Amino acid sequence: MVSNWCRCTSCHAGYGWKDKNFDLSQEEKIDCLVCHDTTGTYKKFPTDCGYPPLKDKVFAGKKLFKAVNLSFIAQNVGRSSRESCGKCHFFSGGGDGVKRGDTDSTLVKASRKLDVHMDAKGLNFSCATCHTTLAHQIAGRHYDTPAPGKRNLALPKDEGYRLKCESCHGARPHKPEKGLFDWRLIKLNDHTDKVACQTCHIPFYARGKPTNTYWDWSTAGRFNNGKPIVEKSPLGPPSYHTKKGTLKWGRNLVPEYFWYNGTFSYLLPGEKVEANEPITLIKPNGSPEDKESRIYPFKVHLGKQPYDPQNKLIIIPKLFGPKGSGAFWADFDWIKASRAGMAEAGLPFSGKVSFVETVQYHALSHMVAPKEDALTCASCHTRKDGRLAKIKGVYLPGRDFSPWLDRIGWLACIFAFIGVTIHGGLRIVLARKSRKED
Amino acid sequence: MKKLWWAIFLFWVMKVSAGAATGPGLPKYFKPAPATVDHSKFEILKKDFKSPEEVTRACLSCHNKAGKQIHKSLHWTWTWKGKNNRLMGKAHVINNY
Ligand code: HEC
Ligand code: HEC
Ligand code: HEC
Ligand code: HEC
Ligand code: HEC
Repeated sequence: MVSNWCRCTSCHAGYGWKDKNFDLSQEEKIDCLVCHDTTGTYKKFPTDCGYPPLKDKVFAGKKLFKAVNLSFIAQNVGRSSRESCGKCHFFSGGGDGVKRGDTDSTLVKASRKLDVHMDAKGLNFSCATCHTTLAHQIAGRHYDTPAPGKRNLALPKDEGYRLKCESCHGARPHKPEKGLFDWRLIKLNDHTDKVACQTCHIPFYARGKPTNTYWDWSTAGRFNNGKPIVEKSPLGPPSYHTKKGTLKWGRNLVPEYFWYNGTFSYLLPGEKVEANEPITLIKPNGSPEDKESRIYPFKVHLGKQPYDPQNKLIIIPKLFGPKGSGAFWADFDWIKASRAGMAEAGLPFSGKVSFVETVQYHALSHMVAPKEDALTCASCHTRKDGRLAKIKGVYLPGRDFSPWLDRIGWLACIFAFIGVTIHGGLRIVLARKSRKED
Repeated sequence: MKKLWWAIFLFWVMKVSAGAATGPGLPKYFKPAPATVDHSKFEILKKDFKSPEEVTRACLSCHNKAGKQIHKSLHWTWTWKGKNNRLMGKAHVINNY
């Protein structure tokens, strides 16, 4: 983000963050309307450092941004909505659904099939129904700090957070409608200390828009007779784009599963890293021994991006800027873009650029499918190719074959049988005996 | 052999559970309280605003704690001081998009 200010800060909840000297203590620079507009007419212009268009303006020669009517919008303020939060969050990664895979514009008018909670004709949750907000502090994970709240029903005596699935459903959410007893539901409840709710209830991701699964920057900057190239993929978004490189997309994807305790680890700019590929940029923390950890679903995103092989640093290139500034999207030269970007980030640059494979993970929590679409027992409890085939640290009946555990099980059965036989036999014999004595 | 046992077990489990499936008696979730103001009646918001900063000043004239609250929030600072003082936040991390 550093060195690409105005493009990125068009999603800042403020006005005019155009370089690192922006004064963050000014109150009048806060953008109230981006969250509190209820008219749907408020927009920030994509390259104006967070300002809305005050007169009609065209973006990238194509898209018209109409001037916003500030007075009309100010008179119609209200609580945030899926639409207002989505103005930024649906478009992270540079387009609709590109980055998250579980958060895109189809949630504005979601069906139950897509998301049982944000179902526009059903529960119709706004984002803040789960992301409880106290004095403008929106509940969520903050990097290496887990989201607030406990994994149990949120009662008035609790702190007021309601973000966890358990906050509303409790830790044993599966209850029979009639009758007292339902072994299958009891067994489901027995999973919740190891398997996250999301794992069974988000069986597929990218069910709205296609999401980006692979981004290769190394091929960016090719032209066809001086003209930029855009090739469409079958799913719609580009498979090649002169500014962006080679891209791969997916829909209805099966998540990958890892132990996760609610925190992530980050590789930070300026931290040396060997080019052992793929380099992990952002990864979930967790382990089977940790009580806070659950098996959780993730989108895995692969990339290929510039790297300084001499300094062993991931390069932060300058992308956005005028011609001659070194910006890649104006000059299309990785060395210049790297020099400009690293200088603005205050980091060294050796003058050499190579490209390395990188990986990052996204935890999935949205687009909870209807209960009838939840994972079936056999998707995990199966001998081969189950969803949790790679998960370590649990004994998963049906997948695992532990000769000892099974042998102990059989021995227990045999002893029980022998025991029952002896006990029963004795009783019969003794009964006869006592009858005789009568 | 193991598969067979599983099949028998699952068949039994499903038989026991047949019929019961839906709707635990969940409490209805907390909807926000209905609004007690109509902002379109406030004179100060009927101005012909020349800049978005003017709007913000108008909001803050009543919502006089909101400014400080926002300034403390991640949506404003884009900076998060993590463990061992590692500086994170949108303004400080690297991704591969
Ligand atoms: C049903 C409840 C629910 C609703 C509704 C909901 N979220 Fe979430 N959201 C979650 C949970 C749970 C998490 C994971 C929190 C954690 O890290 O422990 C999450 C995480 C996130 C994250 C962080 C993702 C990450 O990478 O860690 C963002 C951003 C987000 N939500 C935005 C939104 C937006 C925007 C909306 C509205 C369109 C929304 N959420 C609606 C439950 C919800
Ligand atoms: C703010 C409260 C709240 C949170 C948080 C929440 N839910 Fe729900 N959920 C509800 C309500 C209310 C219903 C509707 C239940 C009903 O109709 O009885 C529901 C329904 C459901 C259903 C059944 C929907 C159907 O129609 O098939 C599933 C499955 C579900 N939630 C899973 C989850 C998961 C997984 C999470 C965490 C990502 C979660 N919920 C978080 C309140 C919540
Ligand atoms: C998301 C994958 C997944 C699904 C779906 C799933 N399980 Fe499991 N199951 C697990 C894991 C992981 C464990 C080990 C957890 C543990 O040790 O507590 C487990 C353990 C079990 C166990 C043995 C441990 C215990 O708590 O008794 C039984 C029995 C079981 N599951 C039955 C079922 C049934 C029945 C279903 C379908 C209604 C089901 N499972 C669906 C992942 C799954
Ligand atoms: C091992 C997989 C698994 C896990 C883990 C799991 N669920 Fe479920 N859940 C299911 C299945 C399968 C159903 C459908 C049950 C049925 O057939 O009635 C279901 C149904 C539900 C329903 C609808 C209940 C109803 O009868 O209307 C809710 C709500 C729900 N789950 C919430 C949760 C929450 C919250 C968690 C985490 C605490 C969770 N689930 C964990 C598999 C799972
Ligand atoms: C003349 C004073 C005044 C001005 C100016 C004002 N508000 Fe309010 N606002 C209030 C009052 C009073 C409430 C009601 C508080 C309550 O119900 O607890 C309120 C409530 C709100 C709410 C909560 C609405 C709800 O449905 O609960 C939001 C959001 C809000 N204001 C945003 C704004 C924004 C944004 C601006 C600037 C465009 C603004 N306000 C300008 C007085 C004002």
